[in-house]
Amino acid sequence: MWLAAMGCLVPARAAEPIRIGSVIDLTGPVAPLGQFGKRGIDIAVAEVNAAGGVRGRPIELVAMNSESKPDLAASLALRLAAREDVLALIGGSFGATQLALGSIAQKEKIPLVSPTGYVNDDQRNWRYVFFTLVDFSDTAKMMLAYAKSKGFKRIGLIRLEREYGELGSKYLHQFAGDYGTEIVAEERAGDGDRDFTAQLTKVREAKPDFLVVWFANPGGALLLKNARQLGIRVPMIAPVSMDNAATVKVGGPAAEGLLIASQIAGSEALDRQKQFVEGYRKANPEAPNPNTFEAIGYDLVKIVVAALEKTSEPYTREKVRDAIGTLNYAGAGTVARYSATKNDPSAETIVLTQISNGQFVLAK
Amino acid sequence: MSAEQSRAFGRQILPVAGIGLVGVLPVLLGGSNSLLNIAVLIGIYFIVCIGLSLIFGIGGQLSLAQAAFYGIGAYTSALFTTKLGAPVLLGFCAAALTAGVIGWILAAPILRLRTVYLAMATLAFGEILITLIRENRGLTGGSTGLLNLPAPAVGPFAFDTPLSYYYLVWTVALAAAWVARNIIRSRIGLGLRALSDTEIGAASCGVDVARFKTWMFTLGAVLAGIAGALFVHYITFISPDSFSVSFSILMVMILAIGGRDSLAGALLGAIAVTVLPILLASYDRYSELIFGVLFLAAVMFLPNGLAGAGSSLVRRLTVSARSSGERASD
Amino acid sequence: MSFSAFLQFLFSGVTTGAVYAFVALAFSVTFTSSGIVNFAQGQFVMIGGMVAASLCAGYGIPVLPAMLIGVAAAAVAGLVVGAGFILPMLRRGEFTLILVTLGLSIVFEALALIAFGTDPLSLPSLLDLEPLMVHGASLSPDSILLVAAILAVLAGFHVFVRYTRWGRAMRATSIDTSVAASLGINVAFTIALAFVLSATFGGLAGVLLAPVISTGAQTGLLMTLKGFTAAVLGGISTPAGSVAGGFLLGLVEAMATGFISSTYQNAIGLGLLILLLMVRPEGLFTARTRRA
Repeated sequence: MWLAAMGCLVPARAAEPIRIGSVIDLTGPVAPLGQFGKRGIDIAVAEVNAAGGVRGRPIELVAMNSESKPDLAASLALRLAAREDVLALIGGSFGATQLALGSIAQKEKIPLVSPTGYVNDDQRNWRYVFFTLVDFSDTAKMMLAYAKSKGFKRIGLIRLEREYGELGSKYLHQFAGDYGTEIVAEERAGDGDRDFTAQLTKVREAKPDFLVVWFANPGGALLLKNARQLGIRVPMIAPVSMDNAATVKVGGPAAEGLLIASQIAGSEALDRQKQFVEGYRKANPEAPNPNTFEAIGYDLVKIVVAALEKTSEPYTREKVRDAIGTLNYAGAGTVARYSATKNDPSAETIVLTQISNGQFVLAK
Repeated sequence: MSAEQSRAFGRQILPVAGIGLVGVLPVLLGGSNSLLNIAVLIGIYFIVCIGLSLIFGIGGQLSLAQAAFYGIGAYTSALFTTKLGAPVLLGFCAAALTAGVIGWILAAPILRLRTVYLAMATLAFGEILITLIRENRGLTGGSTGLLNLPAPAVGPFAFDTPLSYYYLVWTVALAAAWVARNIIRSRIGLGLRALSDTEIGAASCGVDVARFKTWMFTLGAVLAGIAGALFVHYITFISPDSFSVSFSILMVMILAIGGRDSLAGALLGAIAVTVLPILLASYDRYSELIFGVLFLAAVMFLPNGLAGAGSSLVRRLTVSARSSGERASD
Repeated sequence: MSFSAFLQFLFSGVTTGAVYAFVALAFSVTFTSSGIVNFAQGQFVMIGGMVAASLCAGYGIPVLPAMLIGVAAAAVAGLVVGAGFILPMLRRGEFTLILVTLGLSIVFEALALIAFGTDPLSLPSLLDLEPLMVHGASLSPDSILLVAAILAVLAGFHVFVRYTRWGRAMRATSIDTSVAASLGINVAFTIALAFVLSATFGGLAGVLLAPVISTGAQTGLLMTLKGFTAAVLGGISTPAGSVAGGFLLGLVEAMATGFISSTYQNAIGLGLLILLLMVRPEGLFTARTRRA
């Protein structure tokens, strides 16, 4: 109420900005993901505003740092939801903060576009929350389909303990049989672990012909180094969490040839991605190839903007939600065909990439 | 009014003032959901820290197990209500009971340890618990947790708005504060305070050191358990990330900022630790740096925390008021 | 389970153990000289590693000088912590000192995040050699260097404490500060020295670890927790005990991963610690001299 009253004190201008609340984990354990996302978000906001905003109104980000803490994320979401001028939320960099933000978005009926995917099946029914990271079951199927196409049958899995790895494991086990493959070994490790030779030795004993590394950096890159050190030479594939420079910086030569179920190959952008990659290169001349999380950050803003353009003024949260809920969007990191029954991207979002000469390129 | 009288007066007026303030605060906040939400979180942290100040502030034992009991309470209530369909208020009781029983069992062996060893053992207990929660996926939902936890209700009335939840949390907080206050003022409490000076001294005054420590630890566990249950039914989901060691460290930080041997300290600390990150959240990645610097400054320059600084300020004001009053009457 | 697998778990445990041992030793150095548990300990590891790695990656400085600068940066940070924050607070008691180091840990991490960014970095190996194969298990030369380094540092520290004036002053201070002061020992200097030494060990760990396990702005807290666990396990009151605790923790974790399950690796290490504390409350490798 105070805030609304304060809003009245501000003299009305011709172009009142459109406000989007952003709750991103810029510090804490998942800071890397949050920082990537922010880079993309900033590019998108600058681009939209340089082009004159939405119907002549600039976009204004109300940006908050949730520090990788779910309870702080929930507080910030409530704070933003209480501001009537905030039309939509973006953010939630990983499972726990995403769940917190999403629960509040549902309760307060404010649309949220999140740079993550489902972590819990119940989220498939969430009306106000939209995802941009592909469903991990699609990632798992894609990996298995690749294995099948190359004639691999014995799949080894080494994965993160936390929810992300848990989901990968669940779907790989669920669908392995459908593709004529078998999970012959599964080992786990934590985000903090830095030596994986013990786990990899157990995996090696099961003699897999294809290895899924469902992990995040820097552990994932060290895992690749350990695997090479142990003489494991089978092809390896990783999910999108390893689509970032650390894989190459830390993994070095051991990362060569790694396949990644990614959502963008920065050096070989698809048509739908070119606009973003150009903007990205201008903003980051020293690191010219964006990764998936940077691309998705850009999409978060662009999805809200697309919805605003689709619907009519005066904007309300409900109208923005309805517009996102039927959006057909093909952007930098995600291809979304949201509908009443689907609030996450379609499987065609996946771009299979491979590390070659230290670059992420489309897999041949 | 003599100092003794004014102290006695304060003793009687404070609880009433506290209840009154809690009652009218929502009106003062203009019914803003976002501010009420902050007040709910402050209340929850306050409850955990009342427990911790009994164990640590008064008992002098640095326990890093509060996150574990907070988690035990939260999961107990979440499972009772989602798996057994029990009413949430019953879940809260189960949470208190479970946390209390586990705390009591744990207290005897663990409290023989001192200082860093106690801190390490309690920290280890919390980490083991998180592993168990994460791995019993069928029951706890693993690291993805459980969603859509129900709101507590009495008959047809559900505590599902920030306002109603505010009153629920603060009723519990005031009750906890009342219990803690009576303990601090009792013979046992005086014994406990003696503990932080010398144990032998306390024992020689006829204080059964081990028994008091055990009960304080248990009560601390009960309060943390209730707070955990209140927290998860408020944010409607539960996942192990909320109960990591960093939560225990945060609770210790609350007492460090607020002052560790008084309820006012726990309250002021809880306010600071809840409000600061929200105020700082718009400072991008600098928010944690600013928080760290402020925390460091509080520890270094406020030896008895905000509560200590506040009471010495009040004392100085009353002394100068009295001396000027005496001068005037001369 | 084959013999080569067992050997691999052993190598893995010793490598990880050497990492823990370094941080545990650093904990022990400040604890024994001043009774302070320094919760910013892991941040020295981060500072050493990140300074060296970013000099190497960003400015093309060769590995060895970069490493030396990294260690020096950690030592300076240790001096700032010891002389600037611990000494003025010394009279305020153990709890305040722990909280000061906790606050410093938060500040160091936040500063590193701003200065270095979030990307993890690696250093090129000092010994650019192929891994050794021993009965089908592979052992990286960097691991051998790491183990050799911790043992050399421990031996060096032992000699320093035994046979140098400053070292003896440190020992005297650890027993009783007021007696030490009455013997003409400069207690403030000794405590500052202990912090510089322990930060140097931390920094050394940081630069030696970076090629093996990489480094990042946020590795500090993890190092603190693991190192503290190891130090308490072995006995934080003796440097050799702490180092032994580091190796023990590393081995237990690796064997737990190998023979039981990687999921419970942490839980098993910590469970062992709790059990041990019940039996020997002051750590495994300590002489039971003092009684509380």
